[in-house]
Parts: sequence; C-alpha cells; structure tokens
Amino acid sequence: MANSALTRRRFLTLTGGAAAAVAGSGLLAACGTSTTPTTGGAGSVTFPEYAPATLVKPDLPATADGVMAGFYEYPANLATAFTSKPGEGLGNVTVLTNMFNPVPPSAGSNAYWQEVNNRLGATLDITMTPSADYLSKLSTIIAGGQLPDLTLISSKLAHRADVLTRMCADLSEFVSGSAVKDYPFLANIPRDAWLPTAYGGGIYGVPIPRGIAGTIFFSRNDLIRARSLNNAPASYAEFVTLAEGLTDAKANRWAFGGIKRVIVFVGTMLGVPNTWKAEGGKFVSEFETEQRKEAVARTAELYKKGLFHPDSLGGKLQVRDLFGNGTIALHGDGYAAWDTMAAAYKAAEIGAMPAPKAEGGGIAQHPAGAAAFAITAVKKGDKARIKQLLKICDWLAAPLGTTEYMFRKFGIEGTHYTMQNGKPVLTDKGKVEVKLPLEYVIDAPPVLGPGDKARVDAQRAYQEKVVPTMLRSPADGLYSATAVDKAGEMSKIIDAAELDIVSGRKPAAYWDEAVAAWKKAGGDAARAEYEKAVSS
Amino acid sequence: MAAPASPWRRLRRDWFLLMLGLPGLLLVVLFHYVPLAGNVIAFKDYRPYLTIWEAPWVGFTNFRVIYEGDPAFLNALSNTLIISLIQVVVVFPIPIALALLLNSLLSEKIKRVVQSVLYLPHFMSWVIVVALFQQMLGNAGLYNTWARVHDLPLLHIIGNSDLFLPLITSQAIWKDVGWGTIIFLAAISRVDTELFEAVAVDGGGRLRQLWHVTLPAIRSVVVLLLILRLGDVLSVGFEQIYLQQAAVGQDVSEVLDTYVYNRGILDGNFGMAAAVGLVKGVVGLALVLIANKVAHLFGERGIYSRW
Repeated sequence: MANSALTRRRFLTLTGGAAAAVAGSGLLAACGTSTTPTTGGAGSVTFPEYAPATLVKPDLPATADGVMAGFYEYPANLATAFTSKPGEGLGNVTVLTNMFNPVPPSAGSNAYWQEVNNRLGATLDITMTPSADYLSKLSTIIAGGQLPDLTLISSKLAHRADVLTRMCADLSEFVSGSAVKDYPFLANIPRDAWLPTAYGGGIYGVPIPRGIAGTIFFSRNDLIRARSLNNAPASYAEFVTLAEGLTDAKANRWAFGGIKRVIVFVGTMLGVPNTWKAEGGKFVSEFETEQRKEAVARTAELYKKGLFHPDSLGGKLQVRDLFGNGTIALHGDGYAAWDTMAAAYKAAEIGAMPAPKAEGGGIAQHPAGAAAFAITAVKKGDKARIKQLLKICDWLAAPLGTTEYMFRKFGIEGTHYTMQNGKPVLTDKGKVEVKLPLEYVIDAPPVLGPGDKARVDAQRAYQEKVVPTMLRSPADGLYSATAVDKAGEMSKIIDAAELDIVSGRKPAAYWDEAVAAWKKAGGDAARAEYEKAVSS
Repeated sequence: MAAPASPWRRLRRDWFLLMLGLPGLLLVVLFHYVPLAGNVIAFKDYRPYLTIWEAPWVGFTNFRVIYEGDPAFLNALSNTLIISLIQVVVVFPIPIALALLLNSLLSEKIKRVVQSVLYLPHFMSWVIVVALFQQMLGNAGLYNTWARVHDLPLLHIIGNSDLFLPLITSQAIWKDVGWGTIIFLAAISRVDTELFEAVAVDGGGRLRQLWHVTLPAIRSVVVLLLILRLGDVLSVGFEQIYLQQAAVGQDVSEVLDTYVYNRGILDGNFGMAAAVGLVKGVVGLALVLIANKVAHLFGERGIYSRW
C-alpha cells in the first residue's frame, strides 16, 4: 500500500510542533483576528493504529518512499467483509460532497444508487456539487448552520479549525489508537493521511487518502507522435518547442488548457519549493522565491505565443474533455485521472511527462502531493449514530479484494458490468449509473490498477522516476491556524495575480505586489506560526 | 359623503378582506422584516459556528473597509457606480423606445410574435445567457473558430477587459429589454385615443403625437420606474458578473455584490459583508427618498406621497 512512512524523528517534530501551534494561535487571538482562541494541530492526539489490509498480494509491491503498489489482475476470489448492513436503522443519511463527473440519474431511476441504499441499509441522500463550486456551496451550508451527516471539508474553507471543532463530531474515542479496530478498513488508511484531521486534541474527520504522486502532467502521446515531436523534453527550451509543435490554432489545436497547472509545471522545472522552504528554522514561501515569479512570467510568455486554448483565462473550460478529444495535448491533473481518462477516451494514448530541469540535466524534483484529498467530517450527534456513520465510512473504504469494493466501483455484475478476460467492463447502463461520487466521501487507499498491464507498468515507471526524489513541504503536519483559516483568501490573491500576469493585463513585476498582499493577508502570520512550531 | 366609519365598524365591515390580506402580510413580515434583524451581525464578529447571540459586539469595526477606504472596496464601489450609470443612461431608456416602436406596429399578429420573441431571453438564467455569448463570440466560439479557419480577423471580445462594460451592457439589453417594455406598453395602451385624433385634427404628425400625447402620458410611469431603479443603484447583477469575472480580472469586474460574496461568504468575513450590504441598503433607501422628493418638486406623484 502507498504509505509514505513517517520517520520517527519527523513524527516527533510533528507532535511537538503542534503543541506550540496552540500557543501561536493564542497570540493570534490577541491581535483580534479570532474571537476564540483557536486550538489546533495534532496536540495530544493518538492517531488510529495503522493496520494495513492484506487481502490481495500486489504484483508490484509498494515502496517505502511512496511508490504505489500495482495490480495487473482483479483478484479471482473476493472476500465479503460485511455480514450485516452497516447503516441498518439509520434511515436517511445526508451527504455533501464534490464531484468531477456528470451528475448520475437520481435515486428513483438509478438501480445502482438503489442497490447502494439496499446494501447500506440506509438511504444515502447525496448532494453533489461540481468541484469548482464546492467551496461556495460548503460555505453557505455552514453559514446556514445545518450540516449534513457526512460533509467533505475543503482545505480552503475559512475558519476550518473552528468549524470542525464546534460543528463536527470528535471521533477520537471511536478511532484513536486501537479503537479503530472496530473499523478495519479505516485502520487501513495510512497515518500520513490522518494528520489533517487532528485539531485541538481531537480527530474531526476521516481522510480520503491519496498517494504522494500528486499532480501529473499528462500528454497525448498519439498527437505528439503524429507530429514527430519529442514526448520527453529534456529542458525548458525543448518543452517550448514541443508546445509550439502541438499548437495549430487553425485546426483547433492547442498545447495547453489550464493556466495554473502549467505555472506549476514550469515552476517544477525551475526548482520552485513545495509550498514552503525551510532554511535553518526560517521559512520562505514558494511565492517569495525568484523561481516562482519566473514561472509565472514564463507562462505569460507561453500564453502570449498563443499556446493556450483561447478561452483558458475564464477557468470554465472542461479541460479533461478537451484533452480527451485532442483539442489540447498537454494537461495537468491528479494521478488518479490517468485511469479515468483512459477509460473515458479510448482513442487517446495517454502518457505522463516528468518535468525536466529547466537548463537540462535530468528530471527535476517534483512537489509531493498531499496524503489526503480532503477529509470527511461527521455531524455531531448521539454516539450510536456516529458509530453507525463510521460503519458506513468503513464500508466505503473497503479495499480491492472485497465484494464491497467491486460493487462500489462497478455496480452489480450483469447489470452494470460484465467480466471480460478477468476484467470488469461497464455496460452502457453502468457507465451512466455508476457515477455516484462515493470516492469523494471516503475511499480505500489508492493503488495502481488493476488494469491493462501496459498502463499499470507506465504508471509505475513514472512514479519510480519521480516519486523517490519528491520534494515534501517542510510545513507538512505542522499546524498554522492562519494557514488553515485564511487558505481561501490567501490563495485567491495569488490565483488572481497569476491570471492578471499570464493574460498580460499586468506586467510580470506585479507579482511582488501580489506577494506583499498575500503576506499581509496571512502569509507572514503563517510563517511565524510554522517557525514557532519547528523551533519548540 | 357619509362621515368616516369608526375603526371598530370598519373592522366589522372589512374583516373578510383583511383576512384575505393576512397571509401575504405574514409572509412579508416573516421573509422581509424578520431577517432584517440579522443585519445586527454587521456590528458583531460573527462566525458561522457561533449563534448570533454568542458573537461578540465589535461596534463599527466591520465598517472599517468603508471609512478607511480599503482599495479593493473602493475599486468595487467605483466599478459598481460606472456600471450602474451606464445601466441607467443606456439601458433604462431602451425599453421605452422599444415600447413606442411596438405600439406603432399596426398588425396585432406581428406585434404578438415580436413581443414573444423579445420576452423569451428574460426567462433564461444568466448561466445560459453567458454560455450563449461565450459559444458565439468566445475566443474558441462559433465566429472565431470559423474566422481562424478562413484567415479572417478575430474578435477578441470575451475575456477582453477593455470590452467588459460594453459586453455586459449588451448582454443586459439582450436579456431584459423585451421584458422591460411590458409596463410601458400597458401605460401606453391607457392613453385616450381621442387625444391622438385631436393632434391629428390640429395637423400634427406622428412625431407630434409622440411628443405631446404618448410621452406625457407615460411620464409618471417612467419617473416611478426610474426612482425604483435608483434604489438598486448599488446592485448591478451578481450572477452575470460573477460568471465572467475570472476571464477579465477583478480590476474591471469586481462590484459590490461580488466583493461581498468573495470577502464575506468565501473568506468567512460575514460581519464585514453584512456591513457593506447594510450600507448599500441605506444608500439605496436614501436615493429613493431623495429622488421621490425631487419628483414631487417637479409635480410628479413619484412612488408614494402623503395626502
């Protein structure tokens, strides 16, 4: 399994640092930004004991530095993990989460959804919000004061720590230490992923685990080959040549679709730190580095050359679809999108492009992805209900090798999928109905495959190339109340500035102004909190 | 006339009518007046996880962005005023002109068809309207894709911050002008046709009829709608602008409504957002009262008057 294990020393830093974060946030309250002292961080939390599930032996075992395990085949013998319905008697279970797919048919006309309800023994009432609008939806729901039973808590939510500790259930008595044994598949979630759930000595959510492979810059290898271009550029100059070769505006073809991911990719080539850089106890934000400024400036040049889809700036493009139909040829997305896109766009030959060092000389250090996509919080309530909701989470986290997993991912055999050559193939009905975003409520830790051997091998090869040298953020696992509470406001300043510069509305030098605003909005406070956390 | 009945007798006489009005009154109180009390969070440091009672009082701290002149706030305010000015000067008169034009159509059948076609866009949500404009005029939209293939000049309209004002103005016209004619058409239809005949008898043509009969007849309605419009002067349409904000940047597109949303809802500054909203409401109310007073000075009835 993809557990990027924490070293002992590092874990001590984490827990020790978190205690200091409490003091740090008290200081913040005195400045008037917070009405109640925000306590947070791991504190005295005992995280759930990690007990990896060993249902199926992977073809390619996971490595210690975080390369995910790979499977070529679906296991022939499935175990049924749940003998009773986990949600029996709960009645209606309301869920709020985001989604990236088209909305599936409603429960009334969706046999898959009905069967989910049947197997859970409860009625899942899921509010699905497109991921782009999720923060707005979540903020308004919270302002309304009525949380659903299970809520995906976005990392950009304002006052996140307080929202979690005041409106959501403290799960520590149910999952801390060995208590998690009641939920074997929650115990299967690595400890790294649990870190962002801890606030003020409690555990306020269940993480949706992710591997550290993070974002991948995908390429349409078929399009690249058709133009006799090089799909593995060895320097920034070669990368630009590739992008220029892929662009043919007359034929409705461009190299890129999304601005942000290109900035990050160019930044990776230039050696931008992952969020923060720590030097002798001093924290420097990636935004303050020359390289990050340069990355934005270079992306602006790429934009000026006309290498971006002309409507990129609005941020409302269906970038995946454009990548799938060949309108754009390079597209940054989460590593999990590889399988999703390969399944959706059969004609596309999808490859992954590691970022070269800008001046050549090998592969650059890539930023490690977060160990959790987000966390799902449970509404406060009586213990019996919370326990049962956690049972549902446990069911949702059942990994490869269980009948629950197969059903969650593919539906009912015969109705939603058929087994062909040992692999499940979705029927037309399955393609429409098995689109409930259950994987954004809780999911099993990610693995590569099972799937087409060539694809699993390509995914594994990419990870083996990139993961061992991945840059981790020195702030990982450290707690800063400001960084958590002001995340949305702070990232908006940066995002707006990036768009302004890339579009040419503002000169590259405007970056300094934006970073100054970012510092004022919380960047400096976050730095101070992190520095304090490390020094104690 | 008989002497006015005593309140008690009037109540006995009208109780049924009053009962009919009661549900409406309750709804207005419940949904318009009770929520007004929520404005109190403008003076509190409100957090979503606290109840309004628990949140501590902070006086006028939330109004700081206004009286200290936060640059982002000032930018939003000036954009709002510019857009509003354009809407009053350019967009407001168009339905009047259109109503006059429609009224001059002789064939009832054609009039119906034209009216229906003009009303239709009003029923589309802004999301659809913005998407339509994007699909037609977008940089990868219908025209530009075609033009690119045929080596014709491209139209850089969507996402061009210099053209943002004309763009949203034309969208507003396209969407709501037809709908806006309804009230004017109703007012015109009330005009006594004998007056037109009188002008004709005196030798006046169509222009004179328009100037001396139609316009004076609808003047009070125009003034009424203009006064109501002034009350909304600080609201210029949230959805339309929010949907197109990313493409042109906040410098030209941030208005008070989006500022309140971005800072208030997304950044969790509910107190500040409420403060800005409250000031917006107060300014709107003041404008309506002043405009009404001015209307009285010019001998119009305005939206209300004391008899």
